Amino acid sequence: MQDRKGNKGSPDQTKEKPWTKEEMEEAEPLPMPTLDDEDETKEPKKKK
Amino acid sequence: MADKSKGSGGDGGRQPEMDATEGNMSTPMIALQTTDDGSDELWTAAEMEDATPCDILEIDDDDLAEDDAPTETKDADGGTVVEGGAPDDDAEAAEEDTQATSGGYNYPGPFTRYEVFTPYTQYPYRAIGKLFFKRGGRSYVCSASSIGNNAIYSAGHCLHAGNNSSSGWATNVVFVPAYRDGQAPYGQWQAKQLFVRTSWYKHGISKGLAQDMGAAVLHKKNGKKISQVVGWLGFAWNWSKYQHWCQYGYPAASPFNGRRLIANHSSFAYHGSVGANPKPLGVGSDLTGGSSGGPWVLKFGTANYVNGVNSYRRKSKPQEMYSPYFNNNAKSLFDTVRNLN
Repeated sequence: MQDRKGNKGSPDQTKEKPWTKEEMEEAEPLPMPTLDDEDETKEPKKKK
Repeated sequence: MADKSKGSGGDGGRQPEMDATEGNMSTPMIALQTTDDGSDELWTAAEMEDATPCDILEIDDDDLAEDDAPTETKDADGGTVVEGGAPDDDAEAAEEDTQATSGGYNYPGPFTRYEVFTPYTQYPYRAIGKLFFKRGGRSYVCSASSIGNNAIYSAGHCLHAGNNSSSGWATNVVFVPAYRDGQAPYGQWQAKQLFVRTSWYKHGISKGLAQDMGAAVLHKKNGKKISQVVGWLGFAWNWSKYQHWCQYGYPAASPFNGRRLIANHSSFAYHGSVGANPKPLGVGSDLTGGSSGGPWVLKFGTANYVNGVNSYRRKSKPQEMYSPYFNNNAKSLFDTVRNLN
């Protein structure tokens, strides 16, 4: 499902059994998106 | 004392006046007084020494409580409303003109990070929680926050892989507000439907990072909405980038263990390089994986507006974090999930 404002929706989620405490504690951190180094600037160049 | 001819001063006595808009009162004009010998010494030494101390005002606790009652803005459901005071759409452009060289920091931007010791069951902490989900047969964690009705807000990459495929949606997604040391004081709240920005869905990291925002509608639990149980944070968009945020999340990658809520206070440091203007906002932060999707809260403790989410970082810069800039796109996603039941 996609609306006209640029949002995309999933199908309805399937209900599953609750997570156990052990499952929760064993879940891994989702790797955070990481970019290769770029030439970041302190401020963008001002438009003229 | 409307008759000025009977005033005591040379200027005539003015009726005490009140500024209707500012709430200030004024006295009548006080005439300059002089002594017989023309000196400025209006009070003698004896008079000054004999002067009685003015009583200190005394009020009882009830009066104090009444006077100090915070003015909270509530909506029909009784929580903090969205408000967010969306300034004009061109506020960002105006900032560029006036502050283009006055804000920001070089890497690493300053920050203060600490573990939250306040009981997580207190508002607004209890509106923040840990997100559990599965993808590709593995179990993962992120962070998220309650934003009203049945909705939570997080990062797009927590809810969809950004691979332009329906297979990229996370499954078995549950939100656990106020999670601490394996305990879920408000239980698990299962997601009913997930949403991300289409740009993230299609392009992922390559071209979609500037819209790395996601949200979910949750099933009710025991007949109650998530917002009825833990409250919700407000939402702010189109604000100037020059802000101070309190970031929250459950970082689980080293050196953290994901068992506690971590806070990080920082201010705008610099822009990210991805996406079109306005580009993502970078701040000083050393939160790690697992904190993704945790809210950047504007005016924490008073208004509590979500104004960003933990999104991405750069490979050799462990002390920074980026969030998409929250403009009308962020608000659009917010509206979509807030209006669903």
